[in-house]
Amino acid sequence: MKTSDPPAKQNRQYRRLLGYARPYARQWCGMALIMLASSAVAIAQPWPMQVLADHVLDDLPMPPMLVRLVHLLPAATSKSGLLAWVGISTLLFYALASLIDAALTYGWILIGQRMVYDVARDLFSITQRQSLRFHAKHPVGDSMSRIMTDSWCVNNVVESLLLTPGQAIITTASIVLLMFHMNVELAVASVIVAPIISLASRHFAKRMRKIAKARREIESGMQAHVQQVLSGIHVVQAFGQEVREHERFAENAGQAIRAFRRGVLVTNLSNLYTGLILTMGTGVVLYVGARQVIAGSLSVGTLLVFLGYLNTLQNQVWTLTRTYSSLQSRRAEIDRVTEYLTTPNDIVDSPNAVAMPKARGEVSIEDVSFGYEMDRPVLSDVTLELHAGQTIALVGPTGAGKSTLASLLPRFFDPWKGCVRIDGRDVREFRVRDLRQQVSLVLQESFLFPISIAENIAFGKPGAARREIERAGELANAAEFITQLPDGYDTIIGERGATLSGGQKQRLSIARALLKNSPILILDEPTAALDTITEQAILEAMRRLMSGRTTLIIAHRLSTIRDADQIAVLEAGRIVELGTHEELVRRRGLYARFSNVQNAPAGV
Amino acid sequence: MTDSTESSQTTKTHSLGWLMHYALRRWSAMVVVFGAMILKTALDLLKPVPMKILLDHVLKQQPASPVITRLIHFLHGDESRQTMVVWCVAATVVIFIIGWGITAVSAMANVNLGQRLAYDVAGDVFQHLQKLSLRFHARKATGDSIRRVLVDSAAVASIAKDAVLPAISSLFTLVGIFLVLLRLNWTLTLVAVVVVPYLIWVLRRYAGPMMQRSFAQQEIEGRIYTSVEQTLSAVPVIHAFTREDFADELFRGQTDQAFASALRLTRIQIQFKFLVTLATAFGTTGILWLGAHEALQGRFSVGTIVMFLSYLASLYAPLETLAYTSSTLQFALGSAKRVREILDQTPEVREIPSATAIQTARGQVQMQGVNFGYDSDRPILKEISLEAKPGEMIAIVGPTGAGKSTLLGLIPRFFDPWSGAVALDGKNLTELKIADLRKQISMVLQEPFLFPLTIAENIAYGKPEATREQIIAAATAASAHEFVVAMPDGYDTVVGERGATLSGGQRQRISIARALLKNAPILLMDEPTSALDAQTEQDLVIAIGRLVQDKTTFVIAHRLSTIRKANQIVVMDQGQIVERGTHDQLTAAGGLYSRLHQAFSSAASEASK
Repeated sequence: MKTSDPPAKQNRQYRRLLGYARPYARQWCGMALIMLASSAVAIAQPWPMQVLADHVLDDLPMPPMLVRLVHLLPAATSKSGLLAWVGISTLLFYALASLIDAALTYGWILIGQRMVYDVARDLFSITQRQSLRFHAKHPVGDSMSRIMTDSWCVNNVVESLLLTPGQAIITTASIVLLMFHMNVELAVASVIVAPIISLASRHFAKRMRKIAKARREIESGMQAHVQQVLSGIHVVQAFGQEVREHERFAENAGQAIRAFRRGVLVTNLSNLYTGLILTMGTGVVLYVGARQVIAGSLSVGTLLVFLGYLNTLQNQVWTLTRTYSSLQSRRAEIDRVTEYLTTPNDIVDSPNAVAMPKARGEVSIEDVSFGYEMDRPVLSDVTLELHAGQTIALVGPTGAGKSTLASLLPRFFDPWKGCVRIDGRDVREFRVRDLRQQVSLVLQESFLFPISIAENIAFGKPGAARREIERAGELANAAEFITQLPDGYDTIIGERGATLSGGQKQRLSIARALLKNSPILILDEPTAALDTITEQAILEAMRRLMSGRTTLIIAHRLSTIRDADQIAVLEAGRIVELGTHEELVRRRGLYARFSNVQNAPAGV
Repeated sequence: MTDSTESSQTTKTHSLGWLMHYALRRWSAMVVVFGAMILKTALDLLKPVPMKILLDHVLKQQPASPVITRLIHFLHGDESRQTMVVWCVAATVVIFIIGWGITAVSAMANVNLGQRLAYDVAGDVFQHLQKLSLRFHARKATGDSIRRVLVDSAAVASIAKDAVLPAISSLFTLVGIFLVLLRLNWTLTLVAVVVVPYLIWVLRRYAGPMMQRSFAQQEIEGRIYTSVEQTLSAVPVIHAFTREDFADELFRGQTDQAFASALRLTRIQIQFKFLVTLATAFGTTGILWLGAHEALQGRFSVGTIVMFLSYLASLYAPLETLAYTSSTLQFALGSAKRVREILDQTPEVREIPSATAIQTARGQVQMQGVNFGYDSDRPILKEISLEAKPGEMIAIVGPTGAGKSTLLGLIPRFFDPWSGAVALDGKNLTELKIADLRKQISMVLQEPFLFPLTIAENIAYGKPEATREQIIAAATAASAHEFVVAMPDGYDTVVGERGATLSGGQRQRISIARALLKNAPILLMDEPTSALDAQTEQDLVIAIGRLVQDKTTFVIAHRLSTIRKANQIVVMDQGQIVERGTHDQLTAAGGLYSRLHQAFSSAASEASK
């Protein structure tokens, strides 16, 4: 499904992720300087060995530059003095190299980690702004792993497309130049293998990509299987299929292992290929060099320097191959991250959206159809009228579309057809922010944040005065338990024993809605998770919240809905009954049956 | 809901001995890995030899040792410098190829060991999770359990693969190189070894702080995880209160913290690495200096120095590896704890050793004074007693949250009651083999859970050995055959793939076919039609009618049409049975059921007008 024009798409993705390196131009300049220094050290490092071999242990004539240097250094003219200097310079180069290495690592973490978090922030910011339809399609776990885990791929992209090639180019270019300057024949012998390697690595990269893809598919199949079994655990146990499911897991694992092995095989083949070519290269240099030494046109020390350089060059090749293949294995993450980064939000302000004045609370839903997936409508031709200040209750079996219907008011998604009007105007004409200011929400789960209780209550009105917050707390019957908490209103939720009961949390979410003070209110099974005694305590607070507001309440319990001005019964996405409690009971339809079943125990 | 679930942890989470048991299961791979390790060490020792020969005996024309002279004679007989060059070059290439072979073999064995180990652990966690009661699963998020099976198990296996094996391999190399160096020149070796106490000091000085910082880093990452999960689950609230910017800021603040802590960790790691490299530098320089002194007195050749230096590099590399092992270990320990948490959960629903087997039950089900709840302080069922005779139908009615589904869950022993007993044909369920007990029970739930398998496999889920004829017969009886054959691949259509999304009614019919094929004497139905519209329901009634024939049936329903035929009706509220009796008894009593019945019959007559 994603095969269309892959190279172009891949380049687009890379460009997008490389863009995250741009804000760190200053740091990159610093990195480039350190890299230059690192190449300089890499060039200098084999020379003490040359001096040792040719001038300390042998008596070859020194080149003029070395003669000058020897005279400059104290006590370097004697053999043992020169030897001491060889030791000192070796130590010095080592120390320098490892310092530079440390600086490079630190610099790279500094930039790399920052970029990862930059990507994570963008992903988070984009994800949490997406409409509920998006979230219905992408479970929280999926989004989380993209934000927290997959964002690491930016590191790989920048490393393998910017950092490693940069360093490789600087080091390779300077060493190759120097080699040619020293001995043309040996230099040619050293670099002759380079083009073959680049050809080979291309070939293997393609195969590795294929295998990595196959492996990912097997792994995601495993994940899907585990997820299926764990979420259908009641069926698995009821049908006694635990052993078979475990066997299926083992079978999948076997497949994954086989794919793994194929991957290791290809990696090893590729390593063999590269390594063989490199070793051949070394062989050629050794052979040519040795013949030159025998012929007397090259000193042993210089040959050692050449071999040292060759080693450095080969390490560069290995590093390049490794980072490039790690980039290949990150393809899936790159896809997943860029997919999120480029997903447009389906709920945005229309170009000529207007500010919304405080609504009166006249809501009309007109002929609305909607579904999360194409061809599977959840709501079909729903029409419903809510007058300002009225309460309307939505009842019906699970899956009838009640919550979906309520979600249309704050434009959590837009209907396929039909429209939702507030005070006579289509909600899509308003700015989304303004529209949502007009709607408050109390859900079955309260969703409080790990901030202070006061901040949680003021969630919809961040600038609220402490007096207002406390007033909302009192009206929501929450003041009593809040003041008993260690830090009162400043207690951070979730910290040090400040775990709240379901009823307490729900009172806070009522306080939150009270303080927001919006003319339209949605209550989605606010007491369904609470026991009857807790429910009673909350009903009072809820009535205060509902008074004077246009309220849409979804509830299963009759006690919470019988006082509604109107009751709408929803079944399979359609409104099948509409009226007051008495009317509906008299009509003896679905609602009557439903309410009788619920009512009955109270009368026994 | 958060802390009560973790109560059954044991204290042995910190020891890793239990992992050995997994490693030993893959002993053949271990043998290969260790063998490869020893060979690799030997090869590392051989590697610089051709170079030494080339330098000393070919280029410098020093007299070769008798071993080498004999080798050359044996190989070719020609001692000319040209030929020797060729042999040295060839030896270098050959040593590389052998080295590659060993690496490849050990990499494959490593997959067998490491990856298999990961799946062995994952498999056990998965198997164990399946054994745990629904009470456990009701309290644990599925996502968390999946993570433990797939992610944490792999991390645990990495302890073996990335920490223990490299450590052992490093030790091997260390000892090997040390012995060779000692043979070569013991004074030089002593110089090289002088740095070891220093390295140990560095390691001890830094291991603790490095661990702490890496732990702190993980803690912060964990906190971010939790808060991202919270935020993403609370998206409706954030949108409704238009606080997207706040959520961004929260995340930004946390990532800033994480970044700062990552830098703290890196700083100490870099310090550590620098100090370790310094030791290498001093060691190397010392050898170079002393070696050159020896050489000046003619006791040592250039080739030997080059060889010595190459060994030295192989000596220090494993020391560095050992030093880094601790941070890998630290990371995996957290996962090990999470894996153990699952493996240490004793399944609540256990089979006693003397459990009796049953073939086919008559189907008499009895509950006596049953109490049960998911959390220890919140009873869901209180003092429930009831009896269903073979072939009877019991209907359970009552408001949401009354405990109806929980009551049904006791019959297949999804969980055991706190007190009281459930019995089948007069025998307490705990005395029966669990698999046998569950063979006696079919279930049809409100949400028909189907697996992403073919339709045939789904129907035969409880009876994998069923023939195609039996499957088709079951589907036909469940009124499913017609729409199944109309699907692209008929019975081989995979559920959920390429347009094979089924409607609620179709899924329910497949789940009825599944129950029909299982043909168990007891049937549990939990609101089988309540998610369907009236028309679809009508279609299903016939199929359900076939299913309930001759079976002991428990049915939860809101609709009276389904429950009217029941031999007994049980009305539940808040975990208690508040009224019970047959249809006629309850109608005659003029209580609750008569009111229900009246409401229903007039609704029906109105609908037919």
